[in-house]
Amino acid sequence: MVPAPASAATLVAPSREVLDGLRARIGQMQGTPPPERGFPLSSAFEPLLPGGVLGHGRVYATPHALSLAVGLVAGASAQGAWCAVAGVPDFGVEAALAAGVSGERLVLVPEPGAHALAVVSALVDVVGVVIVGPGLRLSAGELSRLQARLRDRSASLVVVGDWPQPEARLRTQAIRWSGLGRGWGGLGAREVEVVVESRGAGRPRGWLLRVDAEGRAVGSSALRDGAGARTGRIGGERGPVLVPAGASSVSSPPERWAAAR
Amino acid sequence: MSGPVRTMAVLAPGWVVDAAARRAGADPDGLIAISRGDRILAASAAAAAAGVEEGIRLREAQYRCPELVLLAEDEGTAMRDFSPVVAAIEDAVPGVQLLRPGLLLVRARGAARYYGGEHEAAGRLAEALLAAGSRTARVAVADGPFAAQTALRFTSAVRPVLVVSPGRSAEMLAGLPLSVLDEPELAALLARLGVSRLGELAALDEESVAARFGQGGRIAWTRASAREEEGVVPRVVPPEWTRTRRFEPAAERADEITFRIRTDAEELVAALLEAGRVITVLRVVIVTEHGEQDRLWRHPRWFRPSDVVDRVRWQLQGSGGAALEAAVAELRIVPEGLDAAHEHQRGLWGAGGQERVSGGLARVQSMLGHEGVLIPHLSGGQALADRVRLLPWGEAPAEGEDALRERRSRPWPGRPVGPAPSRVLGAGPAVVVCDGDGAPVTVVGDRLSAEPQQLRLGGADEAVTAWAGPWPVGVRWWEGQAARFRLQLLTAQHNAYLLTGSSHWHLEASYD
Repeated sequence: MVPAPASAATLVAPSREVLDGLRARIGQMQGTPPPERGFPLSSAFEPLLPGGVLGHGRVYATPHALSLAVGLVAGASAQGAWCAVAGVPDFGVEAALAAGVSGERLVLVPEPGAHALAVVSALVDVVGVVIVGPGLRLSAGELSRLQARLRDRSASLVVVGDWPQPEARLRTQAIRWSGLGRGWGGLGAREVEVVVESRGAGRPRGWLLRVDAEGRAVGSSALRDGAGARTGRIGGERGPVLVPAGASSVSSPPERWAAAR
Repeated sequence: MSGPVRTMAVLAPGWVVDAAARRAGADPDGLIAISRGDRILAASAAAAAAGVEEGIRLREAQYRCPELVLLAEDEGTAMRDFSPVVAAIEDAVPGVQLLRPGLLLVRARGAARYYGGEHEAAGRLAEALLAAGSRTARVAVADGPFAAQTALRFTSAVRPVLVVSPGRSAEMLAGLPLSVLDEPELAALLARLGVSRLGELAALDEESVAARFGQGGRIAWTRASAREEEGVVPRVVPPEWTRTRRFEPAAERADEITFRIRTDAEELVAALLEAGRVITVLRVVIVTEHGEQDRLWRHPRWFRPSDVVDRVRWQLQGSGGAALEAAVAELRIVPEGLDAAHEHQRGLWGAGGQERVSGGLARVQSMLGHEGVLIPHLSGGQALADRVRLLPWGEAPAEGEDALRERRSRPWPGRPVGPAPSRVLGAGPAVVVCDGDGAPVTVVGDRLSAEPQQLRLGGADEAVTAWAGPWPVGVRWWEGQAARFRLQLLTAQHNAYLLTGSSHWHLEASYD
């Protein structure tokens, strides 16, 4: 609440309340402070995000990495939040269940089509967390209306694509699969190098996310050199593959096909 | 204390099978059975003769009778087909309770007085049933609904009508096994106490049965001893609930029709609420010059006026756009399933979490259509895409949750190793797997023709760094289908893929 401006006649030292109000306003103008309240994250994802929660009213972007988006919402879903997935027609339901998402509270809207914004807004009204595919195109006005709605409903949005100024942006930098060789074995556990750019947190930080053979994120640890150049061994049989720093090194097949089709 | 009510049970034995066969265009005298979930609900006479019994598992039925034609139960349609028959019986005797398509209960006293005796009344009902189009008819009269239904077991084609004299129903029931009660848990408990027949249960003291087994036990005891006091609950047919709107001239636009039925929908919902009822299942019948088209809609909670209008619109639009395929002459809204409003009070007065979700999802459905909002149900199958059934919000799987669970529990021989893929494309785009010379890699016998080096998809190449397979996908190759295999590939771009095929590959899923 912003108090009414005091007239000169009644000018007194501003109360603590007034100061707090002004500070909050300045904070809003400068950019939103890290979320104080939000949905719980699964323990592997907790260190990755500011505040250790999936903030109410915040937007997170996981360009090209559906499993990261699913990992972000798994904690909220397991704790009772409804989860909706819009605009991801090839969403792997079983992978989501394995990651900890509850099938009892999962709703899919594969083809929101021309109504995408209206659909996402309606979903935000009733479910806690919404994952949206990369197809959502919004004007600046629509964007701010949607974000206002998110704040109003205390919902969280995870975009499997890019987003202007998200609360945090999670990119997959490298994936090291175990178990698969040249002609033998099969995909098993994996280690995912994730670069997290959080708003107001300075330079991006690198994390190593460990995912077991069932697809559940079991732990994470900070990478020493953050988002610096990393070497990644793929499949354990080939020599190291140099992955350039920062760049989105992992392309997203389905999006590319969508463009090719 | 009024004592058991003399009750007539009226059964059209082949009704469900005949009706389903008619709908499916099958021969009702052929080897036909109706399934509910993974069990046999009813079987044609021919199938029954081949050993297909009610209640056995589908696999068992197919084992006993490999040529068996299975039709899924469609209760809504069966009920609708049966309603003219119910009406015909109601013409003969008022106060009919409909138990399920093919089975009715009628209070015997009035009918017996009118037709001059229970035998005469029963005979009259059997005739009415045959006249209404059933091929067979059975009628039994006994003390109370349970005894009357059970007495039907003792009727036959030779003796279609059976009247158990007043006070002697318990005697008729005494020798039957407890399974007749259809209370498997109770039956199992009683069996451990050495009670295996209805007569032995009836011989126990009512109060001790109630003390040991609760209300369920007391009900079972009153049934076994033919002392049921609840009589026939006649069905209330409120014809005024059906709303019919005629369009003259025929309406050609969907928005015109939905606009004109809006008030009907509002009145209908309001009138039902007044009567303490809400609609849970709705039938919409659209009459065009090409004929009638009807569809049953279920609602996860209950139909508000706007929900009714939405269903009408979706049905009008079908899979096409706004233009109708044929002009609509008449539209009927029939509440098929009603529920007590107080069961849904929370929904009526808004608010709870679940209701909020339900309302919001219904709103999204009204934007995108019924099939726009989907709920995943785990199922079984060889292809990854088959293992999750996506059903519109508010719809239950037609074959039942149990059938899906059973399908899920079946072995999955072609199961891909490792975690479930994060994206499942189903029949995804075609891809080419090449060896070092750029020649396509295929499956020869059960091995790859060469080491995969490149994966070509959508015009781009990715270098293959690791792979495994081919694993045979459990299709029935002995039935003439080409053998298919799965292949896992990992590329230098950190992409992991699951491919399906043998000479030509398709992307089935991907991991990220």
